[in-house]
Amino acid sequence: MKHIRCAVCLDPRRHDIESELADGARLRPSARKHGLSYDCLWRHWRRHVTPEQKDKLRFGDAPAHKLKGMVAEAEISVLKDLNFSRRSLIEALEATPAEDANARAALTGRLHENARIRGQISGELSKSSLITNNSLTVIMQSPALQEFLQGLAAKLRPFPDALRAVVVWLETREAQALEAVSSTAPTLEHVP
Amino acid sequence: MTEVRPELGTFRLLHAFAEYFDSTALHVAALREGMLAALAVPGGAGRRQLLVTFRQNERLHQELTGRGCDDLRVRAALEELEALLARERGVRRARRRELA
Repeated sequence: MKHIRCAVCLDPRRHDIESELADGARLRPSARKHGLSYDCLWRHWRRHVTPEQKDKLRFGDAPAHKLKGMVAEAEISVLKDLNFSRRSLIEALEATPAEDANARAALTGRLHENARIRGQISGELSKSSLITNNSLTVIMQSPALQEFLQGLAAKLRPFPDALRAVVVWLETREAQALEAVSSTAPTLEHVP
Repeated sequence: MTEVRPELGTFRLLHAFAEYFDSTALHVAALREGMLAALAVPGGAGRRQLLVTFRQNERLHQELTGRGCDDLRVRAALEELEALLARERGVRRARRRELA
């Protein structure tokens, strides 16, 4: 809303001035820079710009996940924050033109850094090469995997060729794994 | 649903798997596929930077899984990077010699 007696409201640079203030610029230097009186700018910022407008200037029309990222950054958890930033990076990567290899390399580099930090926090990456993590995870019995496979089969059902290809691939993998197990020497060798 | 560019299909799929299983190694594999797709796009600008990122990916993969990547396309990219770096080293050495 414009106030006809306010010099800032009528100023064509209004948006730039408000953006600067929303980004944290102080009133006095900003007034000096734009040739306005301090009182006039103070009045405009306090009375003519609503808190909602200030938020919009600060964050733009940010999607919900970006705002959630900001909240996570402030208080929730590092892992959640890393998730949000990863999602933003992937979105940026998808929006990058295929020919812009420089930008894609830069974004991929950042995603690698993200993965490294996540790996260190989750324990997937040990900090020292002297530490070896020996853990056995039976994922075939995991409910999450079963749910995943069922979901995958359901989604592939309308595409019989794709379903067959996936099944053939899984069977080949299983046969290879069995072959690898049977070709290794037995753990206990009985010598009569 | 957002439109997926054809060259990013595998990248998106692997990322979805990685999200589902919450696996950093799968995320790294997805990034590798994305880089391979980017490398296949013709046009020289930024290729070197992309190849350097391959080394970062390979290192992370090795740290996560305990072994190097078997993919021949990755091997080829790393060899291309080695050749490029060796050539750059040669050029720098020649320039230093010239200055001396």
